[in-house]
Amino acid sequence: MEWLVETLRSITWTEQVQQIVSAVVIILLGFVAARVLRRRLPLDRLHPQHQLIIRRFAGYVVLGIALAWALQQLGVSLGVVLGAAGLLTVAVGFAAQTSVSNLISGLFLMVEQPFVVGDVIKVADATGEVVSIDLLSVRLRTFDNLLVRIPNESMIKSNVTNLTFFPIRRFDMQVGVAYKEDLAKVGEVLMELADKNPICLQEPKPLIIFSGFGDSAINLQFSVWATREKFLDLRNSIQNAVKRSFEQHGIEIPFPHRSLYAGSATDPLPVRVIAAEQSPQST
Amino acid sequence: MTAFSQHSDISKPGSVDRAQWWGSYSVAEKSVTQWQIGPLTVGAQRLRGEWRIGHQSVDDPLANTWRCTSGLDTASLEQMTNIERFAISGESNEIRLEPRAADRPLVSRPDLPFHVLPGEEVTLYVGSPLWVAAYSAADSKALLEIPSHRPSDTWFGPTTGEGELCYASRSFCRLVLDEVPRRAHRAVTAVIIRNPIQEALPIVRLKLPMEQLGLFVSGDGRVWTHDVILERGEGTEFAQLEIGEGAPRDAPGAEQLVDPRVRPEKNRAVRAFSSLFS
Repeated sequence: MEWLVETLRSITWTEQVQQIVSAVVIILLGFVAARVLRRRLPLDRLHPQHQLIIRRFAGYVVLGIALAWALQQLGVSLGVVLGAAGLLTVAVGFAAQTSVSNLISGLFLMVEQPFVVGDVIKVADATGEVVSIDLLSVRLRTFDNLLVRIPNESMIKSNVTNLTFFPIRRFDMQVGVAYKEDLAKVGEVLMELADKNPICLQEPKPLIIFSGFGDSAINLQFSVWATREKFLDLRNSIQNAVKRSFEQHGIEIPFPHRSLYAGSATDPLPVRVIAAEQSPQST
Repeated sequence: MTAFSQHSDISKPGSVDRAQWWGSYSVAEKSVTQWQIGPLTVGAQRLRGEWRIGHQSVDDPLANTWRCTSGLDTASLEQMTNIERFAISGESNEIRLEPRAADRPLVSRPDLPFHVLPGEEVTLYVGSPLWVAAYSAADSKALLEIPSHRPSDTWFGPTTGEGELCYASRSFCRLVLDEVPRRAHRAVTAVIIRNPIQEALPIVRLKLPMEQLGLFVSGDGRVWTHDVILERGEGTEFAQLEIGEGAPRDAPGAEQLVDPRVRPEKNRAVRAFSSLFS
């Protein structure tokens, strides 16, 4: 060990090396301080989205101060740095157009707040819970537990549907009934189901909308409301209940029918009935 | 004597003869005791280190039954649709049942169009289902709370984005107390509506702040809530809400059973008669 101590003592530290070491230490300390500050800020009462923004901002401020201090240690004038920043921005802007675009889009998203952390959103073909809104991207956790990273620029350009923005949601169930059915009776059965289901909101009132005459059925839209938390429960329970209730009331949910017609000028198509149980010899 | 001082030792099998369903019960170890409170059936079993409680409801919200049966076997509990277990230390085999008012506002919709004429003051009697809260009687630890009948949800507010989640009920808007049926699992709220302005007040819906109402029991065994006084404001959809202090006006000697779930807000303007949905 003694030889190592002697060797270190013998090294003559130049002023430049000392400055570089100081700068590196300051930056490292800046990182540590920013991390500690982000975690320890007492923001528990705020909304997770606001917590995220304030923590990020506080972290960037601390890092900025550390960086400025480190540059000062290296003898770089801050005035010169700030002056060069303009030119640098142009250069970086050209080199990193996509990143800068994402960055600016991220700022817009944070200010506009079309959704916040914890909301469930749908963007293009991805649907999931917002896990974080970063400067460059938004991260979603899908319902099958996959992480989807969507660049902020895409978020700004796409149609974003926030599924949890409003406290209640409507479920539109498409249901077809046979042409022979009495639509008034069908309506009564559907309304009774909505009335009996406790998670189906009484108001806004359930709706039955006549959608049209389909190929095999009269198509109806049965619209019912639920709170966003109970939406999936309602979606499952009401469809099961409709099927059960239609069966009980003898209301037919038809499947596609095809009629074969050979035209009026020809004879009917011959139909041959084959016995259900054929003898082994006939096979 | 407090409202919950009733105690029944039901360590022996059979029916328990009691006027009210709330109060303390001693339950024999391993056997099942079952309470039928209107449409709700609750069963409790005391096992070593735990309470096992089951419950289920029938569809009829107006079923008027009150019965307690002890000494049943485990199968009677296992038949129930919802069974929960509660770990608890100690040897006490006492369970206490308490009534509670609904945990959200109740929006009552008259079965027929109802109008309060100008300058009139009327008292409507509106019924609402009670919640049944079960406690370990020895240390008052809450076991569970279940509605005797789960009313449907409804939304009450000016838009689908702004408003409040409530329970829905239909009301006959009875004006005569004797016409209000006495049911073990329902409470009656006397709603005093004042219409001081020169225009009839149509009651499309009536929102009652159930979570702000305490419960009382009158001498005849009827369960009451605090009175609710609503005074229509002029040129506005809002009404001045006031919650009566002390026993209900129609049952002055009633004994208080439980306090409100949340502290009542005094004299505030509320949207009490209608929302924009119609």
